[in-house]
Amino acid sequence: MIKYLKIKFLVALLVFLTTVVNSSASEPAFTFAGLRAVYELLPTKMQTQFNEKDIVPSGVYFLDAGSLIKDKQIVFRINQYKEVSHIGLQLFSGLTTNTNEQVVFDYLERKLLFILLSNSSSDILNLMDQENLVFYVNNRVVNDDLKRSIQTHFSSISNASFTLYNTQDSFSAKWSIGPLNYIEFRFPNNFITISGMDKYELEQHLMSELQNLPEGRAMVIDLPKSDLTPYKDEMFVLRGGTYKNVDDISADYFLLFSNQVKPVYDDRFILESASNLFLNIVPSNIRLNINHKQYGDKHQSCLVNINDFLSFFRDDYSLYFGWQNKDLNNLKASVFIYNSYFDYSHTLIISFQQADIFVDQRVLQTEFYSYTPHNNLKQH
Amino acid sequence: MEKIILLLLLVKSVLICIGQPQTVSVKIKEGVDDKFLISRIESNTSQLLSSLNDDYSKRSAVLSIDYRIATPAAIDGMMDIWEDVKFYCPVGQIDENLLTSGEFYQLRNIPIVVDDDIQNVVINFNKDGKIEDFYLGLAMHQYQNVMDPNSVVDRTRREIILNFIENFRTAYVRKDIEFIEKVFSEHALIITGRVVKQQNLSTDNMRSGLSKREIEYMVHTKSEYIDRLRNVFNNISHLILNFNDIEVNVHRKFPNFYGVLLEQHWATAHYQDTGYLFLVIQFRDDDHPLIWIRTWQDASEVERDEIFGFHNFRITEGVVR
Repeated sequence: MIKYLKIKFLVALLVFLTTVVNSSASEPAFTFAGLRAVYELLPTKMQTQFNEKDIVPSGVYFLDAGSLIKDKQIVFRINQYKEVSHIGLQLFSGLTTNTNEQVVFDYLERKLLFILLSNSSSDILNLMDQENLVFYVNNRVVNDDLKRSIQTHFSSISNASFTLYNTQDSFSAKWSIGPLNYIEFRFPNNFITISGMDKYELEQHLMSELQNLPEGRAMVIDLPKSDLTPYKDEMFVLRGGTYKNVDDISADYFLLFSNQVKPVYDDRFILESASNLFLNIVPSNIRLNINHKQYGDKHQSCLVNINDFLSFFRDDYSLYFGWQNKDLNNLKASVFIYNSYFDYSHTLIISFQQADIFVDQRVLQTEFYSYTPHNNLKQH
Repeated sequence: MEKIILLLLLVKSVLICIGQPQTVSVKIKEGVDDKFLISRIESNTSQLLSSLNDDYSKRSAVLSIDYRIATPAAIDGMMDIWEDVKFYCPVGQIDENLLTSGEFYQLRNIPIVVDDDIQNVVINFNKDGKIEDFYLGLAMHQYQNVMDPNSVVDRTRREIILNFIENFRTAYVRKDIEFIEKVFSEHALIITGRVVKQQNLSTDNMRSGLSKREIEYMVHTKSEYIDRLRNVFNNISHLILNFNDIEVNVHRKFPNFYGVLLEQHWATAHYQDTGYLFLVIQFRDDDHPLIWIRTWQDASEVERDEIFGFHNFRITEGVVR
C-alpha cells in the first residue's frame, strides 16, 4: 500500500513538474515589443489561460474579458510564424480586407485593452497625452475617470454603427447609436504610433516579408483606344497622376495600340519601357537586388523578382516613377512607393544601363529606404 | 583629408543707417578684473574694426588684419566672409560688457554694416585676448537654398534625409547611444540655448531702453554631449520623442550639407519640454550621414528670428593644417 502511494505521489509530482515546465515553455513570442507590454499587463490567470491554448499558425483566439468590461472578449491573433501579432479588446468582428484600416482597428483594440488593464489613472492620462489620443462622449472630451467611462460606453456598443474617418493629419473613430448619441476617439495620423512598431521593428518585419515574397504578376492594362492620349511616335500615354505634385514623378503608363493595348517594352523606347517596367505593367524575369538601408546604419539585401516585389505593394500603395539621370549609359531612376492613407513612403533607387532591362534574368542593383513619414513636415 | 570649420554666428540684425568712421575705439565696461587682458581685448578689437573700415574705404580685395591681434583661423574666417561681402563698423565708440566662461571671452552687440543692414557681431577671444572668432550673421538666403520641389534628384534626396531623421528620432526613443555616437562627427558643434535674464541694452548706438532677453548658449563637445545623454538614458525608463514641422534646406555652397529645422517634443515620466532643433547633416559617398551641428533652443523662450539656421554658421572646406 505504501509502495502504491509512493508511486502515486511520484506520478503526481511528475505531472505537476511537466505542467510547470510546459507553461513556462509556452510563453508566446511577439511580433513587436509593444504587444509584449500589453500581454504582461494581463492578469496571470488570463496569461495562463492563453498559454494553455493549442496555438497554431495564423490562428485567432479569444478570452472572456471578465471583470475588465462586461460582455466583451480579448482577442489574440497569431501570425504564420506562431508569433502573437495582435492583442486587444475585441471591437471589430473578423479581419477587414483593407489592411490599412486593419492597422487602425488593431490600434484601437490594443489601446482600449491597455486602458482597461491600467491600474493607475496617471498611466492612462500619460498614454492619452503621449499619443494625442482624445476620447469624446457626445462631442465632450472625457478626461476624468476615463477607464470607467470606457467600461460603461464600450460594453453597450454592439448595436452602434461605426465610422472611421481620416485625413493626412488625423483619425476619427466613431460609434453612433443616434445622431446625438455617440462616442469617438480622435488621434493623429502617425503610422509609427498606430502600428505600435518603431522604424527598426517595421523594417525588420518588412524585410522578412520581402525574403518570402509571394508570386506577383504585372498589371494588365485593358482599355479602349479612346481612353488613351497620343504621346509620341506610335505611343499613347495613360496619365496616372503625379507624386506630391512633382510633374517629373508620375504613374503614367506608355502604351501601344494594335487591336489591343499593350505596354511599351521595346529597345527603341528605353525611357518609356523602363518606366513601364518599374510601374509593374511589364511581365519580366528581371531581378532586383534590394539593398535595404535600415535603422542604425545597417543594411540587408535580398534578391527578388521585379513583378513579385512591385506587386507586393499593389493594394496599399501607389507607385510613382521618376528619372534622376537619363544618360543611357548611366541611367538612374527613383520609384516612390507611397501609402497615402498613412502618408508615408518607401523609396527605391535603381542604377542601370539601357540594355539591362531587356536581358532575361538580369539583376539590377537598387537602394531601398522604407517607412519615411511625411505627416510631420512643415506645411508651407 | 577634409577639414570643416564651423563658426557660430550669433547675431540679430537691426536696421539703422549710420556713417562710416575711420577709427573705432572699444571700451569694456565690466566683465573681468584682469586689467591687462581688458586692455589687450580693447586694443585688439579697436584695431580690428578700424582696419576693417580702412579696407572698406579703400575697397580692398583682401583684408589687412594684423596677425598679432587675431588667430590664423579667425583671420581666415574673416577673409572668407570678405570674399562674399564687404562690411564695416559704423560707429566710432563702442562700450560693451565682456562676457566670460572659463578661459573663453566674448564681446557681443558690435554693430557691423553689411549690404546696408546693421548686424550685431559677436567676437570671441582666447585667454591672451587674441581674437579667436568673428561671427557675422548673413541673411539666410545667402547660405541656403530650399530644395527644388520639382527635381527628381532633390525629391529623392529629401526622402533619404527624412528617412535619416526618423532613424535619428528612433535612436533616442530606443536609447541607442551607440548609433547616436556614430552619427555625430567627432568635431560636432553641439549648442543649447536658454534665457538667463532680462536686461536693457545700453549700447550707445542702439535705441536706448530696448528690452532684450539675454540668452546663454552652452557649447558641448561630442563626448560631453554623449556622456550627458548616456546619463539621461540611464535615469529614465522610457522616452517619448516627437518631431514636427520638419524643414529641409540645402547649403548654397556645399550641396552635400543639409540643414534640418524641426520642433522637438521630449517627454519622460517626470519631465517634458519643446524646443527647436537645428541639425547640419553631411551626406557622404559612403552613405553614412554625419551630423556636424546640433542646436537646441527652448521653444517657449526663443523668438522666431532667433532660431538657429545655416545663417548662424559658416562652413568651409579645405586642407587640414
